[in-house]
Parts: sequence; structure tokens; C-alpha cells
Amino acid sequence: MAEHTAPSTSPGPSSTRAPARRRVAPLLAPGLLWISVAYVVPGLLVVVYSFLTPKLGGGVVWEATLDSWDQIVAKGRRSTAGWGTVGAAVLRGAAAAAAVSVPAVAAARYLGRRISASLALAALLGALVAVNHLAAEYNNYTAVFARSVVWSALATIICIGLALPLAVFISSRRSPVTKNALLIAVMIPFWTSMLVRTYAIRFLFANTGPLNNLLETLGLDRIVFLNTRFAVILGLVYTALPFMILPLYAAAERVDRAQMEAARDLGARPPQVFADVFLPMVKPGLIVGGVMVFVLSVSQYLVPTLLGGGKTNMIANLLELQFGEAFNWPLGAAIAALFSVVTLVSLYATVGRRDQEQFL
Amino acid sequence: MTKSTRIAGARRLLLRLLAVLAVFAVVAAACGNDDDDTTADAPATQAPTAAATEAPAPTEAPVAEAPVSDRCGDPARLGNSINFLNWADYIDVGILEMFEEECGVSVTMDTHTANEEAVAKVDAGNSGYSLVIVTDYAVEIMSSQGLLQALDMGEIPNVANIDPNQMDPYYDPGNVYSLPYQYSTTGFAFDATAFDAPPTSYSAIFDENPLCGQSSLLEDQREVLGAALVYLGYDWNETSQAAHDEALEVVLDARDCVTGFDSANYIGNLAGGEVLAAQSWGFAAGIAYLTNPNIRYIIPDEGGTIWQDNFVIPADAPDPYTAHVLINYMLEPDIGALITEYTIGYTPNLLVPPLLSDDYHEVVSGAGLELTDEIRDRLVWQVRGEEHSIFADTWSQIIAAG
Repeated sequence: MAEHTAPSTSPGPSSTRAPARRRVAPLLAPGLLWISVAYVVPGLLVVVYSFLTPKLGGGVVWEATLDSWDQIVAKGRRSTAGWGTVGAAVLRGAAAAAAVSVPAVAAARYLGRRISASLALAALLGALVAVNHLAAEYNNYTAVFARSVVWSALATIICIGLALPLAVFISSRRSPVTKNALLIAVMIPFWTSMLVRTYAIRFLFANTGPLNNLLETLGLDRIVFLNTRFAVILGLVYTALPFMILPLYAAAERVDRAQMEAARDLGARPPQVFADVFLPMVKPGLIVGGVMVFVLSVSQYLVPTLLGGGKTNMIANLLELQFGEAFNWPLGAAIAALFSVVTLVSLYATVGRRDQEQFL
Repeated sequence: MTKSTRIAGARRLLLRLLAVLAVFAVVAAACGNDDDDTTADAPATQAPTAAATEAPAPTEAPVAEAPVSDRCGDPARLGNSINFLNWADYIDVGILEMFEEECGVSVTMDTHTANEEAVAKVDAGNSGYSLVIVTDYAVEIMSSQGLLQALDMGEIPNVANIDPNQMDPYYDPGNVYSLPYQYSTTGFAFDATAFDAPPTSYSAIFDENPLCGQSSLLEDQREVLGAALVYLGYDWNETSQAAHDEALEVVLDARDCVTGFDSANYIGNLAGGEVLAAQSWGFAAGIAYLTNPNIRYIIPDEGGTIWQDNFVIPADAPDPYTAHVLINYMLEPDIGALITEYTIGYTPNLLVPPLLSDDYHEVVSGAGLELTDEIRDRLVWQVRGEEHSIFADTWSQIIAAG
């Protein structure tokens, strides 16, 4: 990524800030209290529960044990997982890195950038592929983790691809009326219960649904759509898309078109204008949208349940099993705790600290 | 006050659904092909049949006055209201209104969709429920954890109406904590037009599934793995690792062929033709039959399960006396008939069968739901103890597989 100056967030003179901070402290109290009661305490409770003994019928017996963690870390290991898996993971990672580095280097050359950044990106991707393969093969829990992360990442990328042109299109409308109408069109799905919308997709794409009926009347074959990976990923994209469009729109609204014109006048090719001028300006929107879409998707329960039909499961389905029928709350708590770590690490690896400073 | 039985209600709902579907069909088949529009005019409007027995005449007196019916227990001890936790869609709410009119007790019903949910609510303490309905194994779990209080049979004279076959169950020997509400079985439902000869074995969904992509299994670790276990010749409640390894293979193979593991939507899928065969609860096959009279239900030769939902009273129930009265009320023959007409389950009440309507009998015989002694011999109860946690381990491998 090109170096660019972030919008000024530099603090004012410290002498004026300190009293201001003290003055807002009472205003922060309710929010902080809410966060600690509603998030921190349950979060800690999840960790505590993961070290307790399961009780038949749900709940826990207050006897400390490492069983749940043992199950996730050691006991649950698949018999097929061994050094061969590690080798395969390394090979896959290397292959992915190599495959990506070719277009990445070409793009860097074209845009006149240093190649090392592209290589670093390819290496990161390769490492992720390797870790993902290891997780997918290690045991039942990590396999579901890996799948949830990959599908959510895919959904995020697809959402960016769909939302970016839309956001630019909406923000470039001159008339505020058109703009508002388009934004409302994006918002309307929010007004309907997600459950209803997901059932609507089910109905639409069912084997005997309107879409397949249409295919048949056109003389084409019916397509099995429901309960496939494709259906689940489409469901993730469908549910999360507005969360990508809105921040991207807000960012695109603020893009200074004069700068893009200046770049073009100075001889930059369109891809260069896009990569060097436009992208840095919408990056905060991309990051906010990306985080929201990823976090929403990775914890999805409705979509994999209704569109995956119990055949294509994500992390929430695994949790539901442990907290429901399996009567194993501690194992569920351990899975949830570990998965929080996985999500945080995934987010940190892709978004990182330096980037966050830009939109804070 | 007209009572709507499920049979009548389902038909009305179906007509409305068909109307909506017809609109979609017109849109979808804009090219002009009307291949299966015949369904749209097939089910003639059937007037809602009144319940087999007349509902007791509602008292004209205001609710505040003392109840006049002798079915309301001791008015001095009877509360004004009661909180009731029941399975979703498992009673005609008209019955609760009748109870209010007859006895002056307003019933607030909450619903659950899983026994685990009900257990968790009561386990949390201070749930406020005086009467709860849960399935067999949940009674055992709740009573073993001291969550239930012993029933006082002296307050429930209608216990004499209950079929001895359904009493003294494994999960509550001597019926200390529970009394049966309804029971049913788990077997296999299918569209008869899709098979040359009706299937008799789980092989129809496991090894030699002729309806690949058009069949479903329940989303229930015990039912699915149990079916695989009996299919392999093991016991339904088998807990050995070797047996579970084999059962896992069977289910993973079947996984590619079933549309999904589905307990929530398969009734509609069967009725609408989206799936042609499904592992199914008995009463659910009956409900699907109301819409699609080609639906048949069997207990495969290898066996199936029997299960029973029960009245229980939580240990911390605010008003146990009124709960006893309500249990006794629901064990009255006329009320029992209304319940069974709605659930399309089996009634444990010996005085109910003669009161059931022709419509109910038509569904039971048409869908093949008669519970003969020969079928009973093939049914087992699902037992859940500590050692059955292996089912969750096996099932999590199925979840992980996709």
C-alpha cells in the first residue's frame, strides 16, 4: 500500500485535553458499565465455564477439570492428522504464495511500486492457507473453525466486490433525491426480520421453488441449490451486504474527486488512480465494512442452519450442539473462547493496528 | 366459541398458502406452462369440523365469580392465573380459553422448541412456571437434579383414565413426578407415489437411497445415529466406540444423498413435495398427510423409537395446586380429544379414542399411523445418561464434515 498521510488525528495541546477528559468521564460511565456487564463479565464467565465439569441436562458442576481443553487440543485429534498433514499444509501454503506472487508482482510493477510489499502479501496469504489446512485436518472443532473463517473471508471479499461499485455509483449521483432513494433501497432489507428474509431465500431457491420451476419451463435442468456451500456463502453475502455498502458509501462520499482528476492530468493511468488515489481515501470505509461483514458472517447461525440444512455447518452450529442436545456446556464454552481468539487473531492479521488508527 | 382443530386449521392454512403459491407460480411460469396447477383446486374447502364432543357450555357468569364447574378443584385453593410452558404448537389454545372460562384461571402459555431449553429455563430457578411439558428423558434428568416436585395423585382423579401401557415409564418409575400428555413414535415418512413398493427398511435412506437429493434425516443426533445403529444390527442406545465408528460411516455416506438434517422444515417439505422421504416423527407425518394424502408413515423393520411428552411440576412452582387442577382438566376425556385432534399424536387417555372425530381417524388410518402391538414390539425408548455423550462426539464429526 502506498504511504499516505492519514487524516489529522494528532492530539491538540495536552494541557487542554486533560480537563476535557475529566469532564466527559461521567458521560462515559453508563456505556462503560454496560460494556462491562454485558460483554466483559459474560466473556470471562465463558472462560471460567470451559474449565468446569459438564452437568447432564445442561449447566455445569463446579468442579475444575481440563477435560474440555484436552478434548479440543489433544484427545479430539484425528487419527489421520500427523506430520504428513504438516507437510501437505506447507506445500499448499507455498503453492498458494507462489500462485499469488505472480500477479501481485506484475501489479506492483505496473503501478510502479516496490516488489517486496507484494511478496510479503503473497507470503502472508500462503501462511494463512497453510494454517487453514492444518486446522481443517487437525480435529472436528478446528475444521469447523477453518471453514467458518474461510467462508466469512470469502463473503467479505465478495461483499467488497459488489459494494464498491455500488457505493461509488450512489455517491456520484448529483441529485440528493436519487441518492436518498438509492440509500433507502439498500436499507429496506433491514426493515424485515432476517429470519423472514432467509426463509424467503429458501423458498425462492428450493428444488420445487419458483427459480427451479422457471428453469424447468425454460427446458433447463433443475439445480440443487439449498443445503450446499454455495447457498451458505450466498446467504452470508446477502445478509451482510448492506453493512459493507453503507460504510463504503460514507467513505466514497468524502472522496475528493479533484485529487483523482489531478492524478489523471498528471499522467496516472486509471488503475493507478484507483490504487494510489481512490483506494487510500476509501480505506477506512473498507476496513469498517470488512470487519463488520466478517464478524457478522463468522458467527452466523441462521444462514448455515436454514440454507445449509445441517449439512454445511459453521461454528454456531457446533456451539448449539454443545449447549443443546450434547449437554456439554464446558466444551461449548471452550470452543467459544478459542474461537474468540481465532476471530481476534484473524482480524488483527488482516486489519492490524496501524490501519485502525486511521479511522479512530 | 368455535374450536379449531389442527385438521381444520391446517386445511385453511393450506388454502391460503396455495393462493400465495399460485401467484408465484403465475410469475414463475410466465412462459405459459402450467404443468402441475392441478393441486391448486384439489382440496375442496372443508368446513372446520366441530370437535367430537360439544365443549362444555361456557358459564355466563363473570370470571370474577367462583367457578361453577366441578372440574376446577377446590375454589378456595385455586389461583387466578398460572404460567404454563409447553412445546411450540402443541395444544389448541382454545383449550386454555375454555379453562379460563370454566374455572376462572387465566393461563399464560410460553413455548419451547427443545427439551434442553425447557430444562435450562427451570434449572435457572424462579422460572415462574407451575406446569411444564417435556419429553421422557428430560423428566429423568430434571427429577434426578431435584428440579421437580412429586405429583399428588389425590388431586388428579383423572389419572384413572390413563392407559396403563403409558404409565410407569423407564424415566419415572411409579409416575412420581410425571403423567403422560401425548406420545408418538419416530419412523419414516414418504410419498407413496415415489416408491413402487413401500419401503420397509432404513436402507431406503442409507445404503440404497432411490431418492437421492429428495430425502431428509432429522436434525437429531440420537434419532439419526440410533437409526444407523439399528440398521447395522446394534441397539438403538448402543454406546460402544466400534459401533459408533460404523454408524458414522453410514451417516456420512447418507449425508451426500439427503438434502439435509432437518427437524424444523421437513413437514412442509414433505407436504409440498420438496422431499419425498424423510425420517419423521409420527404426528408430523400426520400433519403432512393433511396436505398431501400420498404421505405414508412406517416404522422400519429394524425398529424405531417411542417417546412420550409429560406433565411435570417444577420444584419451585409458584402454584402447584392450580397446576394439579389443570393437569386433571387436560385429562378429562373431552379435553383430551381436543388435544389429540390438534397434535395428531397418540392419546394416553383411554376414554378419548371413542370421542375422536372421523377426520382424525381418517388421518391415522390413511397415513398408516395405527399403533398395533406388532409395531409396538419394534419400538424402543431413547435413554440418555452420562455414557451417551458418545452420541455428541460422533455427531460433531458429522457437523465437522461439511
